[in-house]
Amino acid sequence: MRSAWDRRARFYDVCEGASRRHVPSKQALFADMRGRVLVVAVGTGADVRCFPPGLEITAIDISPAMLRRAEGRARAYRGKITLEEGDAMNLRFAADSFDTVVTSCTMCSVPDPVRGLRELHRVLRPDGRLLMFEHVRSRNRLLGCMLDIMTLMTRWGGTEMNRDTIRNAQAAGFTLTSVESVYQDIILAIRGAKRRDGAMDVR
Amino acid sequence: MNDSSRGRSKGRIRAAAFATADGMFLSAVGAVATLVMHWTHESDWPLAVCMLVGMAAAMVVQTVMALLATPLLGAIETMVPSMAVAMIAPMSVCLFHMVGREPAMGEAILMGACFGVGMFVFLLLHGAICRRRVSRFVPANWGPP
Repeated sequence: MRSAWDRRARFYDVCEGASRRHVPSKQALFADMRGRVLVVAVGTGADVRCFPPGLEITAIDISPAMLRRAEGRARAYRGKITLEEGDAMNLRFAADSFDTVVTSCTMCSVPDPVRGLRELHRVLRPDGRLLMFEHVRSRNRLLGCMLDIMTLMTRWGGTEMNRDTIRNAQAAGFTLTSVESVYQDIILAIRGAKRRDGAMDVR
Repeated sequence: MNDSSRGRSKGRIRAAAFATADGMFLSAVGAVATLVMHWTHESDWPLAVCMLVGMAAAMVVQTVMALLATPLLGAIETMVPSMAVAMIAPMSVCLFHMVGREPAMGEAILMGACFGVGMFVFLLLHGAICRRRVSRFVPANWGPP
């Protein structure tokens, strides 16, 4: 998986037109970042421009090639961004060590999304914030069917277009506080929290 | 004009520009996919073969067009609706042939473009519904996909 993302790093920014299209929505979502922040799968750092200034951010990605491309954007950030190689399903951080955890089009590519989200739940402090900019399967039959067909092709590259990230986040123990449509009911801005008692919020 | 209202108007212009580009892209995909099916039906192959070959060719053309538009409009925003257009729009040519009428090239292009515009209108309406409903719903009530 690491080598697949390394290969994609060269072309990643060319194919990420959506990141430019959704800058205002991302800025609005990421404005809720507080305290010590973990960004999971930062990629080439295309979203760094949407982060509010003055934060202490740890940004991880499974691909060293992606991280090398993100270095320039991390340096330009008006705050502190530490780039590290890391796997969303096996974080090296201690429990309860971040105030905010952020993902952006990440959960489509994590092999076991619920396990990955449980890791995010573990490293997030009680009452900490989960901010996700993710695409999910549409509930509309036509659009949902198209996403299923696309997944037949994208699955070869390790990306699934038809995941139910809302349910996955809840299964991982997060309490979701708001979900906003960015594009149809496919691209969503999701806000969640880790309950103070640390209890799993499984439905 | 203060910063907030300037930001709002800039956002509206941005949204309108992307919507216009989406509409043009979808009508172009519909027109080209339907044209491809029209050309396939110009051959002497049996109807079923024309449909299969035309559909496959239309999907290839749609994929190429979507990949070309992705850097500007986004992968999901181009690929998902254009795939639906390229699957449905060319079938109009097949329907005409089934009832014994051969549409002219211009008619085929117009029909395809209309399907593209139809998908664009559907996305506008569905998008508006999603913005209203998704922002209000309680995540626990999110239905099965």
